[in-house]
This record gives sequence, C-alpha cells and structure tokens, in this order.
Amino acid sequence: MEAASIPAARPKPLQVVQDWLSKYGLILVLLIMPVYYGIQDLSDEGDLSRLGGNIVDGLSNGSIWALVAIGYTLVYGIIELINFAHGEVFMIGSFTAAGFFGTIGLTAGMGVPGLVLGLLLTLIVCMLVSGTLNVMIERVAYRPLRNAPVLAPLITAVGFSFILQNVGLLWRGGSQEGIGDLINSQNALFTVFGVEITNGDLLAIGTTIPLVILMVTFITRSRLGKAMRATAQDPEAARLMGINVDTTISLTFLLGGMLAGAAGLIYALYQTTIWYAQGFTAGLIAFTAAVMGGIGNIKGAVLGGLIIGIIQQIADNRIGTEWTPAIVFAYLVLIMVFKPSGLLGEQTREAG
Amino acid sequence: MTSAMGNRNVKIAIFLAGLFVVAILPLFFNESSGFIDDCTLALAYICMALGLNIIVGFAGLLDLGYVAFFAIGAYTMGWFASGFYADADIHLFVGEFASSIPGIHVNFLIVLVIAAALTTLAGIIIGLPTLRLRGDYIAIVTLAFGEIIHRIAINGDEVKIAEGFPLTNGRQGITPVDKIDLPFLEPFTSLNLRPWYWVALALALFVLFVNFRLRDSRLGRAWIALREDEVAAISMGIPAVKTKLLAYGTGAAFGGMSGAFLASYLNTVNADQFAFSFSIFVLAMVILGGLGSIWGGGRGRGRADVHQLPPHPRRAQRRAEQGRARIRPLRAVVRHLRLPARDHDGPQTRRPDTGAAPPDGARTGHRRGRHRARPGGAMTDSSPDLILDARDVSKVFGGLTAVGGVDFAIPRGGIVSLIGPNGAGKTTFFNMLTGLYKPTTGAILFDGAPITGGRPDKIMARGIARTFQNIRLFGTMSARENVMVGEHARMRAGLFGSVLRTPRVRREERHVSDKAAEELAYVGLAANTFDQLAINLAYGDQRRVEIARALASDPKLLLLDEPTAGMNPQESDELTALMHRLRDERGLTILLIEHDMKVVMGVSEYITVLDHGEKIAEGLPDEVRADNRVIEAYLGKGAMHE
Repeated sequence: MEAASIPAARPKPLQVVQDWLSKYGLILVLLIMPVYYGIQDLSDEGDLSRLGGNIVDGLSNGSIWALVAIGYTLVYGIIELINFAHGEVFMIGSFTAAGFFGTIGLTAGMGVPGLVLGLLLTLIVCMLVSGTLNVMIERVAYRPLRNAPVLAPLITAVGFSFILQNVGLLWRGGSQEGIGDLINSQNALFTVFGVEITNGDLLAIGTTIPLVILMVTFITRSRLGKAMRATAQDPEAARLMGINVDTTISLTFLLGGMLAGAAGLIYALYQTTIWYAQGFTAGLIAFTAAVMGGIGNIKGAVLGGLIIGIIQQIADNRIGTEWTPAIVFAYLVLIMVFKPSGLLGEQTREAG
Repeated sequence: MTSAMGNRNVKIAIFLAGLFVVAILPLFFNESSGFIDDCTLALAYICMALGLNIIVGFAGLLDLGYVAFFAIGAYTMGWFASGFYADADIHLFVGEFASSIPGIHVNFLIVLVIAAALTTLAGIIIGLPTLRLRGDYIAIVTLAFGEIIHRIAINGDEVKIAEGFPLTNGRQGITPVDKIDLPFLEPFTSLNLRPWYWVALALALFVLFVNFRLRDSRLGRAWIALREDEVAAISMGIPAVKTKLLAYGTGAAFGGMSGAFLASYLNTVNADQFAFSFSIFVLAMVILGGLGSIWGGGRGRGRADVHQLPPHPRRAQRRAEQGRARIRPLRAVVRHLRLPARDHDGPQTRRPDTGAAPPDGARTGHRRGRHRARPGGAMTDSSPDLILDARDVSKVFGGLTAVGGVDFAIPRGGIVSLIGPNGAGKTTFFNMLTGLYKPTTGAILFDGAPITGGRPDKIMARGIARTFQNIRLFGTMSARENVMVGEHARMRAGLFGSVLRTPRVRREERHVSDKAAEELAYVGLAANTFDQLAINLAYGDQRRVEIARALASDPKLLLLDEPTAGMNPQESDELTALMHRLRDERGLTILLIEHDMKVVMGVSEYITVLDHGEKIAEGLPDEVRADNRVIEAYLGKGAMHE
C-alpha cells in the first residue's frame, strides 16, 4: 500500500513552488516578451525607443480590444455565456463606419471641425447599429435558450457568429478593403523620449478613456447599473426585488454592443483596412483579454485588453504578423493554466 | 430472458443486413461516381464525429478544436507518405510505384498507427490545461489550441525541422500524397473509388465498434458519471484526471486516423482545410444526432454536410438533395446537452431546521455499552480500534474559518453522529474526510494510515464512501449503473480490455452488475426499478440508490450526509433500521450528519456537536442532550434561562 505517502507535517517543496506559480506565474509569463526584447533593444541600440514604440502602439490597439472585451465581460457576468457573435458585432461596427463615411461624404480633405463633427456622428451611428444588433441577437438566439443547458446557447452563439460573418461577406465582399485614411493616422503628433505619438494613438486612447469612464460610472452609479449588478449576482433574487431581468439583460447587450461599435469605428480609422473575417480573430483576442483580467470584471477587461494589445504589437513587430494569433492564443492557454480566475479576479456567480 | 435474447438476435440480423447493403452499395454505381465519393467522405466524417462524441458526448468536455486532430492525422500522412521530404529516402513496405520515387514512403497501415499515436498524445497535451476548468472555459481553450495548430499549419513552411525539411507546406499543401497500397490488393487509384469506400467503411465500423464497447464498460460509465456530476464521480472513486485524459486521447485518435485517411484520399494536406469552421462542422454532426448517442454521430452526418463551407460547393449541393438524415426535434438535442452540475457541495446548507430541541428518543442508549472508550480529544494515541482519527483539523476559506481545530475520532464498528446548527461546518468536515477539500491544518488517519489531503478517488479506494446532502445521482444512468459506478475502484478493466471484452472483463462486468442488483435489493429497492433512470425514481428511492452506490465499493466507513432529509417518519425509521443492519451484518462503521433529532438520538452511540466550526460538545446521546452549550447553540442564549 502507498499508505504513508502523505505524512501530515512534512514540508512540501513542490507545494511551495506550486503556490508561488499560481500567485506570480501569470505575471511572470506576461513579462517574458517585453523584458526579453527590452534587453535585446538595450544591447542592440542602446535605448528602449523601439520597445516604447511597440508599447504605445500596443496601448492603442489594446484600447480597441479593451472596448470589445468589456462587451464579453458584461455579458458573461450577467448570463454566463461566451457571446461568440460579439466579435462579429464589432466587425459590423467597422463596416457601418465605412459605409457611413461614404453616405455623409466624409473625406480626409475636409477641415478639422467638419471631420470631428462627422466622426462624432459616425461614432453615434456605429454604436447604435452595433448595440441594436447585439440586443437583437440576444432576443433571437439566447433568450429562448436561457434555461437550457450551457452548451445550447454556446452553439447558437457560434452559429450566429457564422451568420454575421456571411452577412459581412455579402455586404463588402471577401477581400481586405482599404478605406480612406481620414485622420492621417500615421502622422506623428509629438515625440516623447524618442517614441512617436500618432494621430491614430490619440484617437484610440482619446475615445476609449471617456467611454470606459462613462461605462463604469453608469454601472456603479445609476439605477439601471445597480439592476445589472444585482442581476449578475442572482437573477432570481433580482426578479423578486422587482427588477425586470429581461430588460436588464437587453441593456447589458446594448451597452456591450455599443462599445463594440465604437471599437469598430476606431479600428477602421486606425488600421484603415477592414474585412469580414476581422471579427473572429478580434473576438478571440478580446475574449482572451477578458479572461486575462478576470471575467465579469470591467477593470480587468480593460487591463487585459491593454496587455494583450502590447503582446500583440510586440509579436507583430518582432516575430511576424502571421504568428501573432498563435502567440495570443498560446497566452490564452497559459492564462488558463496559471490563473483561470484572471489578474484581478473573476466576478461571476460561480466564483462567488 | 428468452425474449430479450430473441430481440437481440433480431437486432443483430437487422444490423448485418444493413451492413451488407452498405457494403455492396458501391457496386451499383459507376467506379468513379460522385456518389461513392460523397459516401466515402461521409464515412470519414462519421469517424471524426464518433471520436468527438467520446469527448463531448460521453465525457461532456466541450471541445471546439477537434480540427487539430484532423490536422495532425493528415500531416502524419503527409510527412510519412509523400514525396514532400524529397531529400530523404525511406521506403517501408510500400508498392512498386512509391518505391520508385524519392521521399518518405511508409505503408498506409503503419501511418495509420503512427497517426493514432501522435493524435492521442496531442489529445492528452491539449486536455491537460483544461482539467481544472469549467465547461465554456474548456471550449475556449480547445478552440485556442485548434487555432494554434491551424496557424502552425499555415506558417509551417517557414519552420524547418532540418535543412530541407519544413514542417508543412503552408497553403500550397503537401501534394501528392501516396495512395493507399495494401498488401495483396491492387494499388488504389482515383479512378476506382470503391476500394476507398470500403476502407472508409472499415474504419467507420471499427470506430463504431469501439464506441459501443466503451459505452457499456467501466470506462464509459466513468465518463458519463463525470459528465453528469464531477464531484459525485470523484467521490465514487473515479480518477478525474486519468479518465478525462483517456477521453481526449481516444477521441483524438479517431480524428487522427480519419485525418490520415482523408489526406491520402483527397491527395493533399493543405493548411486551409484546418479552419475553426471544421471543428464546428464536426460538432454540428454530433449535436444534430444527439450528444452521447452513438447512432447520432452517423445520422447527423448527412445533414451537417450541407453546411460544410469549403471547398466543394457542387458536392454540398448534391448532398442536400440526398437529404438522408433525419433531424431530431430541437428539444431532443437540448436534452442531451448536459454539462456537469454547477453547485458545489460546499459549506452552505439548507434553510434552518426546526427540530432543535432533542425529542425523547425511544431507543436512546441503544447498544450504548458497546464501547466506553472516549474518542476525540482525550485520545492521544491512535489506538487500533479507531477506524478514523482526525486531529486538529481546520479549514479556512479566505478569511472565514469553516472548521477550526477539531479533534474527532470514530471507533471501529460504531455509529457516530455529527450534529450542529446550519453553517456549523459539518459538510465541510465531511468534504475534508473524503478529500474534496484539503484541510488547512491537521492530520487525518484512516485505519492507521494518513489520508490528509489525498485525492478523493484514492480515499474512496481505501474504504471511505459517502452520500450527499442534496442527492447527487447520475441522472441519465439507471439505478443499476449508478451503483456499478460505485464499484469503479474495485474493478480492473482498462481501455483495451473493455474494447476487446476479454473473458476476464466480461466476467467482471457480470459480477459487478449482479453485485449492484444485490446492493439495491439490500437497501430495499424494488427489483422492477433497477433498470429505470435514476432521475425517474421516487425521492426516497433515490436516497436508497445513493446509499447502495456508496455500499458498492465495500467501504469500511460510510459517511451519510443528512440521509433522512425530506423523508417521511416511516421512511426515516426504515433508514434507521438499515443503518443498524449495516453495522451488525456487515460490520460497517457509520458517520452520520443529521438534523432529525429522533434519528440521531435513536441510532447514535456517540455524538459530536459542532458550532461555528468548533467542537462544543461530545458524548453519549443523553449527555449531549443535556449539555447547556448545545442547547444554546441550537436555541440561542436566552433558551437556557427560561
């Protein structure tokens, strides 16, 4: 018998390592790439401006992922469903933006006031379209399955994701499409420590920060936000307290969709190319971000989005764009291994 | 019995007739007809669907990255049976044509085995990080793996294993791939599709056979038990890690074999074949046919083909016209989508019971004289007549001390109760004894050997079995199968034994099934309910089945967590009698958590009272009943003074 294999008071070095890894493993994994390339830059060029550039670009990219990730995290927090179609809602946001530019005749040649006004208008349209779309998806695909086992809505979510991809395919064709560089996004505005801050960076970060602040304020301060948090905690109890759970869930999808729409617009302006399959990868990346931060946790989603943005940018710049998705997904797996509850901790019913 | 046998013979006859028709089907069509082509592809997809069915359907692990196994299987064929590595010159049991061209050329059958081995390994590697995860997290991790493999396939032409040996050929694809060339047979060609069809049919039949054999085996029951209720399954002695990895490995192997076949049949291994949509395509087959149902995997196939995205629009159209598959109603599909129950049998308990004041127990002091040794704190040495000895055991959740420094001992052959108000830490204590929780401090000795923090299935194998506070039977299994799961730890049949169904395995199966019936009869279940689904049984019977399931493992110590909850007085009395019988006839030791004071006082020889995680009293029933602290804990401070 292997009877005496578990003596009570023996110190277990393996256990110590395990504890240490589960505490700091994720942070360690996240630091590998920036530290490695930072050292490489220092020895090759003597300064960190290339890494700095990667980080700034990464933050801009990451703020787009952050906006999409919030949508995932809100929905997961409230109905514990991975909304697979969310990436496609983001893609439709981009497509709406591209279409709307044409409709109102927005071009790079217009003056700054006209451009700003036009973009604001586009932002509102994109947010409305994506928000409404997301609410509709919930109505059609998820609500009827709310009491079904977990797998059922997950499959319909994947199904809806395919449907929307095909809508995108029909709408603007199957190839990458360039759209006018309205804001001259690669134009360097100013330089800090040898790192260029471009128009695109300013737009991405400058749009994301107010939107996130608005969202957090809404959820923590407003009556509806309180209803959302209550529903996330316990839908049954919330219903008994007079909260309309269906409306609250719709509201959650609306908010998530609106942020995805805004992200779609920023993406279109920043990357200046859009295509129907952008949503799938973006969705997975944003979901990774949400999980990394701790699903159900809005601050976590933002943090995760920014970190993933930086990882992605470094991978793009140093290893090669074609490997980036593989690297991001490898990070997703590592996160799951080291810390399934994420950097800032999950906030879901199951996590308690 | 005879009619059952007759029924079985009829079924076999129908199956053989069907098989014959399917086998001669290609003879009615032109050698290179599109129909045979369709059927061959369909059969290859059936293999994958059946493989995925083991992972998703049987074991309930939602795998969205099954395409990875297709890819690895196909690349195995590409690496070992094509001219891709032209610099190499390896020929192993291949025909004249393949021998005459450069590259690595290995016989199809050998490649098939290599593919199965590699994908099994891949399945285990992909499975490992998902072991601790919940349903939809598993989905996302497997999806991520699928995408990683896809990316590696696309960019593999840049990755050189050695000079001149790239990993893949990216989007160009590895082509041509060797055609199947088996000994004693003509080499296969793309002009005559019949042999391909027969090979695919043989593969599909093999996979089907394995599926059937596994479903009704020790392993199959373990998978379904894990899917239905993981906590209950591991408490019944099923090693979760090993069992889940076996599911991943077996399911993956079939995907790999089918992938290797398809690589040869389609004559190319192209990175674009391995997109996420293919995983969903296979999953759709499994779901349309009904998860966990074997025929479903095959039946759903024809329907799902219609939605296959790339690369054969014509083929898809033709298939839509055939429309052989029957779509099951959505409800049926949904019913089968079952993932493990979510609740944890944690420290939370039911609403307060009112049965606080100890009533007059008619049989108080029953068999009291049997042992006078005071277990617990006074005991400093683990004397041989203690079956369980827990010392200074505590459990802290975050900042909350659920159990704090409890000493607890059970004499062999005794019936001991653990009582206390709700939230006192009783179930937490149970969970530490059975290994579901790891104690924060303290040591637990069972039968003189330490079991502190051991794995639940190992502790179960040592001889501690339990029931649950809120019944946790495996709903989609019959009462008998539930009990057979309880015998898991006492059985030996492995993966290969179950597939081959060796005489030993057969004997063991029969023995276990008989024993399950015995146990069910022993706890008082009517014989006609043995083969009913557990969820359809009456509440009291479900409790009985749970006890029978625990007994099936031949435990030395039986832990009963509120066995009489929700029972009427008569049923409670029956249960009390059963407990006495178990102790007297089988020499079992019983530890009971119970709120019904009538039961507690009637059956216990010794009682320990917990409150707020601490032991506040212990002793004989009469002593405990008179203890002021106990009364205070149950009724509040004022109660004593009235």
